[in-house]
Amino acid sequence: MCHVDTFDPKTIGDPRTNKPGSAYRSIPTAIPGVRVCQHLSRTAKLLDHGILLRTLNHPLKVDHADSTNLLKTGRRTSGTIIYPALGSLVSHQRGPRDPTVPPYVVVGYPNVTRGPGFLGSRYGYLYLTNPNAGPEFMKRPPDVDGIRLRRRKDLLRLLRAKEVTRSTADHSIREYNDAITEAQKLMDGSFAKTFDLTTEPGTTRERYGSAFGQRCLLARRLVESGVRFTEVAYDLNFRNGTGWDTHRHGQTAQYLLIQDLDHSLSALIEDLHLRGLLDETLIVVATEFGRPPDFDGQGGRGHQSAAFSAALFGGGLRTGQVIGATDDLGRSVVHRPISVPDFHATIMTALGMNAATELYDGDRPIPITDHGTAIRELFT
Amino acid sequence: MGISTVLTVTENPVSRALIFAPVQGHLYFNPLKSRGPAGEEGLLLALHTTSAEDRLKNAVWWICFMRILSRFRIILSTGLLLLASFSCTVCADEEQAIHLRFETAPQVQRGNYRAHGVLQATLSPGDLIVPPLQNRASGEFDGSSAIVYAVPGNTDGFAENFTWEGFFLSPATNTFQPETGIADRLLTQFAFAKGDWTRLAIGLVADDEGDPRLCVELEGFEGRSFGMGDQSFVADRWHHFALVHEGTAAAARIRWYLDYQLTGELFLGGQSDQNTLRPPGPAPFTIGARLKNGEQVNRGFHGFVDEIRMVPRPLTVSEFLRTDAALLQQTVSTDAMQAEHNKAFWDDRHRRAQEQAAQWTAERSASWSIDEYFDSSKPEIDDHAFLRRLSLAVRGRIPRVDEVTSFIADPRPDKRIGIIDQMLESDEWGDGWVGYWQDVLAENPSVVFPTLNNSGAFRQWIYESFRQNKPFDQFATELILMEKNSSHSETDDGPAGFGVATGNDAPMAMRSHVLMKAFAAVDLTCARCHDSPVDRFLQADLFQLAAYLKGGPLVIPNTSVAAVNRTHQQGVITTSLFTGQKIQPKGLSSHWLNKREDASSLRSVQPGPRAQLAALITSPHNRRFSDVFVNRMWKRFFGTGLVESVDQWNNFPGASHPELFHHLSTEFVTTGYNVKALARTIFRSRAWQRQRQRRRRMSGEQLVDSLFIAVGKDFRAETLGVHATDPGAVHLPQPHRAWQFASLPNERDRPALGMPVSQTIVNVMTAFGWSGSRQKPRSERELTTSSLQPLMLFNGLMSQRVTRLSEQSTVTQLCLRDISAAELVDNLFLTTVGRPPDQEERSKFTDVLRPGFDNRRTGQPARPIEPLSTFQPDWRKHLEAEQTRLMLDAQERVSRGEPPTVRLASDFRERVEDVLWALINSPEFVVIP
Repeated sequence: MCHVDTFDPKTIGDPRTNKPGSAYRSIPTAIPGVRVCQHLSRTAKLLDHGILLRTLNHPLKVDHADSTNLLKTGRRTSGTIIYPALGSLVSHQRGPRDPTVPPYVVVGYPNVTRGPGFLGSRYGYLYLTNPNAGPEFMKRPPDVDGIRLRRRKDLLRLLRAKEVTRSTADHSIREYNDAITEAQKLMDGSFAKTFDLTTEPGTTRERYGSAFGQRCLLARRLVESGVRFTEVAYDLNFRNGTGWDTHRHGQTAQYLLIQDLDHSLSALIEDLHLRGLLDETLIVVATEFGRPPDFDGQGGRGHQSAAFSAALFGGGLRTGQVIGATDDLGRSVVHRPISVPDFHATIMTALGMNAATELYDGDRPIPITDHGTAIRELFT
Repeated sequence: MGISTVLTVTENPVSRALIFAPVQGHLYFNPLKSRGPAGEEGLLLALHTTSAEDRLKNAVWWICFMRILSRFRIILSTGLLLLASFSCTVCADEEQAIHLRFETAPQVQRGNYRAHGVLQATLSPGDLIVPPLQNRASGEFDGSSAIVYAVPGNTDGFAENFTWEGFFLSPATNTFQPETGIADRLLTQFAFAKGDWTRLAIGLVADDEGDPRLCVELEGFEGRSFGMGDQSFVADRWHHFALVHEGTAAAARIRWYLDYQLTGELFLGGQSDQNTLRPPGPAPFTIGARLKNGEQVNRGFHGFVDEIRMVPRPLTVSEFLRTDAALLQQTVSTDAMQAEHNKAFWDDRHRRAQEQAAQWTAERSASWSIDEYFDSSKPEIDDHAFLRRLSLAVRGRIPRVDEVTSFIADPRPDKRIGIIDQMLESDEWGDGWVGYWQDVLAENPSVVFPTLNNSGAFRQWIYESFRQNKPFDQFATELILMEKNSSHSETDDGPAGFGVATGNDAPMAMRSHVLMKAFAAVDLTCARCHDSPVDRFLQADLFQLAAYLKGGPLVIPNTSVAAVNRTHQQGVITTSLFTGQKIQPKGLSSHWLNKREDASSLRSVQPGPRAQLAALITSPHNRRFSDVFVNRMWKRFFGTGLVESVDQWNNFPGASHPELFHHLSTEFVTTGYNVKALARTIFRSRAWQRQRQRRRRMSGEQLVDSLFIAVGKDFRAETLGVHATDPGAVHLPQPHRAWQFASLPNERDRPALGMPVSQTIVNVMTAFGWSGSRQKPRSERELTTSSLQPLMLFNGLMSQRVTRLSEQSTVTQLCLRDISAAELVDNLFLTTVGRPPDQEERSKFTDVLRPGFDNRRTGQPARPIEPLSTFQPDWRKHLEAEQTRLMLDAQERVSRGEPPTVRLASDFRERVEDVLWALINSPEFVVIP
């Protein structure tokens, strides 16, 4: 996501003459003296609940997978350790708010960078891609009605009972059997209903808007049901062709994407605020790298990781601030750089975790962040 | 005009050497294999003709540069060049042709350049050259090697009128990409000016039948022109190719020739409004792969080339380089020679191993059996359970219902021995092993851009190796050599894929770590960054190995040195190496060899440090090698090893049954590291056939394969490839067994890269402990049970597909037969849990199926079978909105699943589906007997 086109606007550039700079005008926000892109109008008004981190930086700017991995796990890939994603770390340290609910959910595609690494699959995530349908395995098949369901349960109960009697001492049978019981509880319980968006009023669904918005709405419901960490991936579905990776002609309709983000993000903030949940929910808006103020000769932008932005909302932090400053075109950090480990440490501290904890992979100690320190100014 | 400069270079370990050719041109090259027909080392010669006045100037340059370049280990024949330059004849034209030729080393001796009689001092157009492979070497390219030749200042010569020509040989094992841009490039010329560039390439592309054609492509800022030659050509034979470009920057014509016949023509610019070639400027030619800033950008040719010539004027066919026609007709098979040499080597090696093992046997009692070491009072499992356990162990899947019934019906008292032998003969023995080695060797290919510690794909090679029952020492040797071998498949790079570790700044250290864990049970994880705090290994031990694997000195990268003063464990963690330190390949330390051995006394299968390392590791003197593998086998088939840990014997804890362990290991060596023989010994034992206290759950792959086998369905998944342009990305074929899956490409949340069918299957495997991404080696899967697992089997789309009675299901066929309800129930049990139902089960289940049973057949004809999904993601199109729509449509179809058969009444059909559902969800299905 290009920071100079969103949260860190600069003087206006011109793609046609290759003059570097922001592609859009900027507007004032609820933080005095702070401006954002004109297409973030709604979020701008809510910025008093937010914090702009304008000086994220890291050295990987070429490849998406590499950088995504760094942002998610806080470290580069190593041949000896598979680092867990932030969601798994949070899941490991805090668990879910409700023990019957999975602690870590991803609304997006499964990906090793989101995974639990050496912590093991217990701290993995449940994922779904379609907020209207829920995760693949939570919903009963549509052609299985009540009668069939009962029949299935009866037959299975018989088989299970038989097997348990036959192999009394066997751990594996017992464990799997217990897992079946737990699974049935999960399906029949209230968590499964979290995914049914049709119970939301139409006005709410409209206010959230597009596909991405529906994901945000689902995220709110997941928060309410007790999920500790939800990652919502941007569902590209071609608002502008290339999504956020605006090389070349992809830049042309980027503003549609920004407006989309604005629409849905502001809906989420307002909704949580209305329900009194904003103080205890931290919203993190992040990207794997930014994009330079320069245009690439065809109107788009390449990648830049020397300086880029992220945004935080709520979370009980001291909001209404901007941390860090970039130079006049947003190419480099001028004041207060924020490393990715610092970013992670901040999020963890906001969640009440100790950012200096050490985890263990076998007998090898692994600090939970790579020497990151939380941003002091955000905490009372 | 004659030759005034000759460069001779050997295969050298420096990855890049910049040689200022004193004429025009900078020659950069990668370590390129140049081999003669008997495997001897070869040389690359760049023959360059220039004008007379340059010659003297050039001679001076040469003398100056010899000193500087000597550290690059370039052999320069300098003084003689002066001789040569004055002794050559003068050409009629003032040409600036460039000619590259490969030579066998013995023919060119330092200081005796003249003895090299076959080297043409003069090259005129139409010259008869001594053909490739006739007492000569050729350049062997492997798709990623390149010769890069830059011609600064020569901006005119190769922009308007010029000819490229040469000889190439494409091995029969080669495969080609279809027309998306030439993948296998022979020659490329890249021209770049700010905002404007062109790239002209000639190379090989597959036509619609998959046969290779010689094609030409000009790509540039304004678009792309492409022409496919009209002739295919025969593999394993030498062919001549030529490209002739005539014209100006405004309009030009390119013609290209295969074996002296015109095979294609392209018109550029002018009326056709396409790019024309920009002047090359300082940008280089490449032969083979295209490099940019030293990184490989495009795949290069895989095969042999020789006699590449670039002439700055358009030649006519009669002026092309000629060779003896008969030699061009000859089919060359270096593979056969290589195979023979290999066989002799391994036979000899195993004979020595036998001799060595015989000495150990004499030390202990001669006859032994596994069973004398275990309590024989525990009962054996029954025939149903035995067959299931054996089938899963040998073939990675449950037996089919016909296999069960025929085994049960077999009256012979020794039928278990018979079925063991029969199953071991099956190709599926290979299938059963792949998943294990993918984990242990961290096979981790990527279908898109590989940057997260990815390797290449080498799964097919693993499969083949075990299917053929390759001796295990040979398997390990091939792996350590990390070469593409001729038996590799179309989609696999074989062990060369193991040699790749992307996004890793010390790939050979990573590989050493994997190999040591796999074959020596030595854990060097710590040594990557510091000395081990708990055992004897120093960082240097790992990096010495890595240098050995690399074949040359290794420089310690800064990510490999722990920042000791930052941790609060000073004093416990030390580092013995520092960033930038250079490590030489030295002999293996005695840490991991039982007996110190002089490397030079051990013959290795071919020259080179890797082969030496392999010979040392697999030597019969190195008992650990066979011990570790025997333990791995034992653990795999019994659930616990004779030695508790399979891959970490740093502080050797001892075996639970030392004498048995010794016998097994000795026998393994005696049989020539025969894996099947060892397996046979294990399966025949009573110890293996008795009831287990601690049973194990099926692995993800076993579960998926078993579920599909039970109902006779095929995956019908996508091809695992997206035509990604990055050379490291793999394109794997449509999977038919679970091990053939890989991690799926939609990691960037781009819907149009989704694979709806594969996703449903991968979801199940992942829930049951499989992972498509294997960044680290592991010897054991996670065994934790979570509620996610039964959830996947309850409601997941794959599970729905398995239970659905579509036309593809063998259960549908079964229901249509003339059988009773009780027989149907029996069959359903046999097909899923592999045993007949007991009294109560039969009764209850038959009650469920009885309503409407007699009228179950509707008499309607079967509906035609439609594809499950026709969507195949394509990287080149994945940003188009249409692609997302197609993917979502496909996903929708996959959600709906296969249509149920109309030949059975729907209520009855649903009952059968419910029965199937209950059976596959019972713990009995999932846990191995």
